[in-house]
Amino acid sequence: MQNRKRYTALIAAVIVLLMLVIEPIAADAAVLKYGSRGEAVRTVQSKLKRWGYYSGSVDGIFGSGTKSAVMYFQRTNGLTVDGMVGPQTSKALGLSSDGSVAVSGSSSGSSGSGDLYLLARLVYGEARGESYKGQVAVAAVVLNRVKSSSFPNSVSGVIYQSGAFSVVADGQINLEPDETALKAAKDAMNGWDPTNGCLYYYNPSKTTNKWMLSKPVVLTIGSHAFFR
Amino acid sequence: MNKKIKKILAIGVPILLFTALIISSFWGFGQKALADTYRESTRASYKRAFIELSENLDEMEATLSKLTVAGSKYQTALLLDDIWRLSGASVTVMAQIPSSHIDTYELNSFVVRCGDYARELMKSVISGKMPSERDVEQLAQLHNVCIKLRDDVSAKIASESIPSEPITNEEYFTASQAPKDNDSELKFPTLIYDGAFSESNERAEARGLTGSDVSADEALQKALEYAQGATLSLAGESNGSIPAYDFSGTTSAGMDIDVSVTKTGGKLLWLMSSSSGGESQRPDEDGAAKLRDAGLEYLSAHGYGSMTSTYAQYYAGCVLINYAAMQDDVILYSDLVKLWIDIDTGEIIGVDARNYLFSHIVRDLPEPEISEGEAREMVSKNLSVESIKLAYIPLTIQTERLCYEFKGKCGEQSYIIYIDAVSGEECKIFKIIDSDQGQLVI
Repeated sequence: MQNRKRYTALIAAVIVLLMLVIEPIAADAAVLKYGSRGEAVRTVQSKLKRWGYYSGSVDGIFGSGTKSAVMYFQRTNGLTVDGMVGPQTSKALGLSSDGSVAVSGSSSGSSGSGDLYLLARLVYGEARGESYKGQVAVAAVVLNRVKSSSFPNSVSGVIYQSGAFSVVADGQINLEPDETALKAAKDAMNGWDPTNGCLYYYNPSKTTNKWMLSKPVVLTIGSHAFFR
Repeated sequence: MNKKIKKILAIGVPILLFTALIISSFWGFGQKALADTYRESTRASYKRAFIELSENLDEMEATLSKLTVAGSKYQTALLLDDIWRLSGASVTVMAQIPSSHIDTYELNSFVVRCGDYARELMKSVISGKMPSERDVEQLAQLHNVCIKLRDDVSAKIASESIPSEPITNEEYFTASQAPKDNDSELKFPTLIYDGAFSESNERAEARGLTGSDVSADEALQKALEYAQGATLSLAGESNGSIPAYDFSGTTSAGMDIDVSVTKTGGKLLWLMSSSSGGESQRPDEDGAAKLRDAGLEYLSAHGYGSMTSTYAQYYAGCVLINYAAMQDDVILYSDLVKLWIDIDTGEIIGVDARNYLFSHIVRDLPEPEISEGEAREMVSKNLSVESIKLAYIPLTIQTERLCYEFKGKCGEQSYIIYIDAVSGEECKIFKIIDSDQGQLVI
C-alpha cells in the first residue's frame, strides 16, 4: 500500500516534470512606472530616444519626461495610453519583461521607425561580423534593389521576399540591432554606397551557387563578394 | 527491501515510459496540428497572392485593349492611370509569391516598366499631348505580352501548380526551369521612354565624369589630397556603376578611413572615416551656420566653387549637409555633394560626390518665359510664401526643368512648390517634416 503511494507520487512527479518541459511557464511581467529606477528604465529611455519619442537624458529615472514619452509611444503605436511600461508596451518596445533585450519571434512591426529599423535588423542579421564599411555595403545592396526594376519596390518587399535573405528564414532578422547596424543603415539611406551600385553579394567560402559564382565580382569587402 | 525496490522498478519503469510515450504522442499530435495550421495559412497567402496577380493581369489586359480604341485625352489618361495602379499592385503581390529570382526578374522588370511608362505617358496626356505613333505601337506590344502572361498565370492556377512552400536562399538564386527553346520563350519588348525605371536610365552613365583614365598611383595622390596625413593603401578596384579605385587606411588621428577615387578623371567618389563618437545633439542656429560654412570652405578648397547648402540632418554626433551646385544663381538640385561633419570638432569625416559626378555639366539653362510675379499667381492661395528662388530640378534622371521654387507655410506645415518657369506648370510639391534630426522632405 505504501509502495503504491510512493509510486503514484513518483509518476505524478514525472508527469509534472514533463508538463514543465512541454509548457514553458509564462513569466509575470514587472511594470515600470513613474518613480521606477534602474537599468530597465535606462533601456526603455534609450529605445524611446533612438526612435525619437524622448528627448531627455538617459538617466535610469522614470520621471515625467519619460512618462510623457511612453504615452507618446503608446498613442503612436495603438496601445492603451497609461504612461506605464507593462507587458504590451514592453513587447511593442521589443523588450522582455525584465527590461533586457528580447529576441522577439513574433513580428514587432509596431516598433521602430519603419524602413530604417528593418534595414538595421537585416544588416545586423546578415553582417554583424563585418567591418563598418561591410555593414553599410549590405544595407546599400538592399537600397539598390529597391531602386532596381528587377526587385520589389520597397525596403520591406525586398527584405521579406521569400528566399531573398537567409536571415529572414531562420529568424535572425528579429534580433535587436546594435548601434553600429543602425548607423550603417542610416548612412546607406543617406546615400553612401560602398558597393558602387551592386545588387547582389555572397560569401565565396560558403556558397556553391552556380549562378552567383558565374557573375563577375565588382568588389570584395570582408567576407562578401559583391556583383551587379 | 532490495526485492521491493526491484519490484517497484519492474512495474514502475514500464509505466513511467508508457506514460511518457502517451504524453509525448499527445504533444506530437498537437505540434503536427499546429504545423498543419501554419502550413495551410502560408499556402493560402501564397495562393491569394497568385490569384490576385492573375486578376490584376486580367484587368491590365482589358485596360490595354481599351487603350487601343480610346480617342479622347480624358479616357486615355484614365486608362493609363489604371495601368500604373495595376502595375504597382502586381509588383507588390509578386514579391509575396515564393519564386526564383532568376526565373522572375525579367517579368518583374517588365511589370515595373509597364507602370512607369504608363505614368510618364499619362503626364504628357494630362498636359495636352495624345500618345505618339511610337507610343501607340509600344502599347500594342505591351498588350500582346500581357495576353501571354495572363494565359500563363491562369494555366498555372488551373493546373494547381502554384508555389506552396517558402523557398531557401539557394533556391532563390537558382533557375527552377530549364531554359526553354528560343521560339516559345516569352520576349519582353524594350520600352523606349524616359522614366525612373526605363532601361536607358537604369544604365545611365556618369555624364559629369570626363578626362582620361588615371593609374592607381595617381588616384592614391588624389585620395591623399582629401585625407591629408592619412596612411592609405589600395584595397581593391570596383567596376560598378562608376569604376573606381578603393583605398583604406588610418587617419593621422588613428581613425579608420576608406576612400574611393574614380578611374575616369581621378575624381573623389566618396570618403568615409569614423567620427570622434561624440554624443552632441543638434547645435543652435549659430553652431549650425558655422558647420555649414566649414563645409563650404572645404568644398571650395577642393575645387567645388559655386555651391550652396540645401539640407541638413543631425545624427550620431555628426551632421550630414547636402550642397548643390549653382549656375547663374540657379540651384542645380541634381548636382549634389554630401558632407558629413563632426559636430564637436567641425572636421569633415565623410564626402559623397556620386550624384555630382553623375550629373554635373554646364547646363544650357532656358530663359524664364513667365515672371516671378506671374508664377506666384499660380501658386495655391493656401500657401503663404516665404521665399522664392530659381532652381533646376530633376523630373527624371535625364529631364530637368527650370522652376521657381516657392517655400512657404500652410498653417504650421511647411511646403515647397515648383512652378515651371517656361511653361508655368506646377511640377512638384514637397512636404517638409521637422524633426529633432533635421528636416525631412517628402
